[in-house]
Amino acid sequence: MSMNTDWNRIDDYLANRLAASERSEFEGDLRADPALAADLAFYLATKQTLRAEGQQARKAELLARTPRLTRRSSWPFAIAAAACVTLLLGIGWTLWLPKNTATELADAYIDKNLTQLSVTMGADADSLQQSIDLINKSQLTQADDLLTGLLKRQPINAEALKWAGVVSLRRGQYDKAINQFGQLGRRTDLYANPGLFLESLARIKRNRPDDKDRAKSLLQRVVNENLEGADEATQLLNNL
Amino acid sequence: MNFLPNTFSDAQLLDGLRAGGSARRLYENKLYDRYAYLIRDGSRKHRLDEEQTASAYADAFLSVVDAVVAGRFEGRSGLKTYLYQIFTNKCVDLIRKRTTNRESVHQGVELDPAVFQLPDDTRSVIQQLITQHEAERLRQRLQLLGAKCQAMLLAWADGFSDEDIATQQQYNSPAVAKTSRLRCLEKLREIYRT
Repeated sequence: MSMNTDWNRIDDYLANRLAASERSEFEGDLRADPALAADLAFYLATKQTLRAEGQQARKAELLARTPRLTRRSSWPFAIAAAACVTLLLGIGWTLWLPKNTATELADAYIDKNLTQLSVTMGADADSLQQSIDLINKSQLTQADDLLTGLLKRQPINAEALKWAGVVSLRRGQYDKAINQFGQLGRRTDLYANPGLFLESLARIKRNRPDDKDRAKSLLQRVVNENLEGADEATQLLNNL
Repeated sequence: MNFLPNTFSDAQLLDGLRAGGSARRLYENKLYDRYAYLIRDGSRKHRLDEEQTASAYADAFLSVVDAVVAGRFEGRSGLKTYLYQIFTNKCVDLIRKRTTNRESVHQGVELDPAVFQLPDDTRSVIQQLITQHEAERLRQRLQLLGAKCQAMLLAWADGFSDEDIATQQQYNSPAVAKTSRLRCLEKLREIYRT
């Protein structure tokens, strides 16, 4: 590594990977060498700041899950009754009504999951939450502007990229949505990546000659790799 | 969209968190969902609105994950008890803030636990040096790094090991991931200084 600072030594010291003698030598150097102290401080300040940054983004993701969860916990009997009714209706639907086309299923998914989104607006609402709120109010142009600005400032913000794709999808800008979801789907640093599933929805909606095949292969990957949307992907595959 | 069965015990979820790797977020989500009902309970008990309690719950949950991943949660109490205690403290902070307009004792950027392993006679000097760094400037400079460097540094700060990073970002080995990570850190400092 061609760098003046021995980051490796600092890293090993903080991770307890140095032998006892190396450790006390490091601590002796730390007392005597202000440059080493400054390097160590930079290392820790960076870790601390980025950790806070990561936690803020993660908190926004978690808060987006919350309203659905808390709603689910109330009125268990009413929910059980509703579930029974839904089950009966579902059985009736399966027996007597014709199968949905993939496009209808995609529309139903978009209506159900991408029209009214979970958002928790607090006093410290950030751009992402404001965008989700705008999407809920169908103010899609404003949401797009806000998300575009956010992505300029934070190009790796996966949530912002996802919602920007959702906005494009809802505005009928399928080429743009496919591009955005494609970028998201190629990310390997995410732990729950809906990119492939959402790209397949956008392709089903665009419906160009090769879109159906591309959507099929994307959905197959979602199912095979058990990615986000695997259950819905199975259903869509049965209808493609 | 569920990926893990509901039958996972707390112990299994804790193991999943501790194991790190690409599944960690899925285990986190599962655990978050399991006790999300505390939001409604906390809201009723402390007479706070649900948005505030949801925020307190998310903060408490992130503290718990942090403690589990860093090995500070030793399992002497149950996971739910531990989460509930932190969540209650966060709710009390909110009430205190609302009623007395005082800042929370539990808020602010937490010091990296690594600071506490420094020798006593150097710790305060290093802490002072840390506070001289401008967080906002560091965040802005981070945006100037390539996406891979950013993702790598964020994963490192979030407690992921070099082994996890190597898997996530397809490096040949943890050693290669470590070298790249430290290069990214060096780049960040060069940019920070300009």
